[in-house]
Amino acid sequence: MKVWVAAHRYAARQALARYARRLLAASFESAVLGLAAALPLAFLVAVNNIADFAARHPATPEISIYLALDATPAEVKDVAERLRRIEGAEVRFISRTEASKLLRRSAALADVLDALPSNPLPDAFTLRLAIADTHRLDAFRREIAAWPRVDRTHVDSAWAQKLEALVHAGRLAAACLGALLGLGMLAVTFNTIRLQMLQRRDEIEVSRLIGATEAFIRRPYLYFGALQGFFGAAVALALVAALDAIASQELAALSESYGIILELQPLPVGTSGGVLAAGAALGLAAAWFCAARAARARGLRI
Amino acid sequence: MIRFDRVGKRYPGGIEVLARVSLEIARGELVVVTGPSGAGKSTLLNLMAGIELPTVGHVAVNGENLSRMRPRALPYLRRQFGLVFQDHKLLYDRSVFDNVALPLRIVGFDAATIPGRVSAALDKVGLLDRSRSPPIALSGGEQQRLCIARAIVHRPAILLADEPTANLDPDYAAAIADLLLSLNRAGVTVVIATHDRAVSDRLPTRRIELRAARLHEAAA
Ligand SMILES: Nc1ncnc2c1ncn2[C@@H]1O[C@H](COP(=O)(O)OP(=O)(O)O)[C@@H](O)[C@H]1O
Ligand SMILES: [Mg+2]
Repeated sequence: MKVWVAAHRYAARQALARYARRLLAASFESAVLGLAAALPLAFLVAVNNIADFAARHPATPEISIYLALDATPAEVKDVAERLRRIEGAEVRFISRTEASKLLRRSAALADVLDALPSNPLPDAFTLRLAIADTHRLDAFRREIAAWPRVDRTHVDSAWAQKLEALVHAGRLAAACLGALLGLGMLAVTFNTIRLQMLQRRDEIEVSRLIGATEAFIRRPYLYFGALQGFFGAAVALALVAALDAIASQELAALSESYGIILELQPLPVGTSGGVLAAGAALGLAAAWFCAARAARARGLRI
Repeated sequence: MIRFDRVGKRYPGGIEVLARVSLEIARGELVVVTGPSGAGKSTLLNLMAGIELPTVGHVAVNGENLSRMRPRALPYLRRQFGLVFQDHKLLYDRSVFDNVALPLRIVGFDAATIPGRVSAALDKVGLLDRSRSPPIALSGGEQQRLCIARAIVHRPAILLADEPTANLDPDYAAAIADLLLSLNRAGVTVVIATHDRAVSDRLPTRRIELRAARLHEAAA
């Protein structure tokens, strides 16, 4: 155990020293990795904010409520009263005559309506609620559907659903982009480590000759890879935070002139931690592949 | 301790370097292998440490057949040896201290004990005051002694020294021969490969001459 800890401490110090010794080049590599990682991250932040904005400013989906054709004015009034009592509701009444007028704007439909013996359109209400959650909205709709004289109800949430689909697609795109760029980062780190092993082939060779295990040889490179991935991720997070700050300022100006609250949500702390961990894991994996390849090609043709 | 059983060695596409030689080196022995350049002295030492494997026959260290050894076990075998390489194999981007500390780190010595052990090894070869220097700042003789310090720092049971006095003037060569002799007196099994008559003559010990791919024992 003690030996193990000492070995790891030594490897970590080696990796840090190597990083420090070529600080400029290493920082540049981290910056490149960070730039690449910032792209999907910024995209993710944007998508998250759109989703968030949509949730806070719902497209106020409407519930359309159609009454029975033979509902009396008193009954209509009764429903109207009940609707108006709902908190935060915005109720609009569309009488059957009004509806018929609206339809008559289209000549073809006007002909159809004329051909009918009576107005086929019922009295209707539209109810706007500040509820974005489609499930809750639907539950609400079902409740209203059970009221007396209510014939049919319908939630018009196509807009919200479209947005939801869009956000879903956006997140998927961010994930794909992330995976693609992750692969690229893997390749970049792999190459960095490969060059390092090439530069240190003498050290690797002599270490093997005097009894180093492959694990001992590999370890400093693993630490280095993890370190570089971690710093890359940190650069990416910093870049995204900077973009976020700039965009927030712009939005603040916009908010003032429009009198609405527009606020950018930064990446959640958990996600940021995950990004750092993923960066380190990616670097570690790249170093591992590289070291495994080098070990296979024993004669130091790495 | 080291046993060669009808060992033949032929490098791919090369001539036969060893032709079915048998050899036994006991614990605590001091053996000098002589022979002209290209006779196969380095090959013989490399076979002992499992750096090369025999084409036929087998080499055993402490009863273990190196040809049958699992690759994972090889590093642990190597730690029983101290190796002084003909071409030094020093790390020129590390200090003298770090060069000597390398075997200790590889074996996994407690970090707190490393400076003391390194200093002791450097003291034995007279390089204690150079521990912060880079190896490149050392003379040829000092680099040779640094190699010996690195080879003995982890107190190996066997020291294999390949041309430890190559390119040294006679005074230095004699000093190194004395150092190896004193290590042997302290209990280390020492095998020296050299084509330097001055060294082999100075060491009153078992001598093996390599000629025409065969071993010839010569009395001390
Ligand atoms: N790795 C190798 N590959 C091919 N031939 C080699 C190799 N190492 C040594 N030889 C050949 O084996 C012979 C013995 O070499 P070596 O053991 O180095 O002799 P010495 O140390 O006595 O000078 C030489 O002819 C040399 O060219
Ligand atoms: Mg030689």
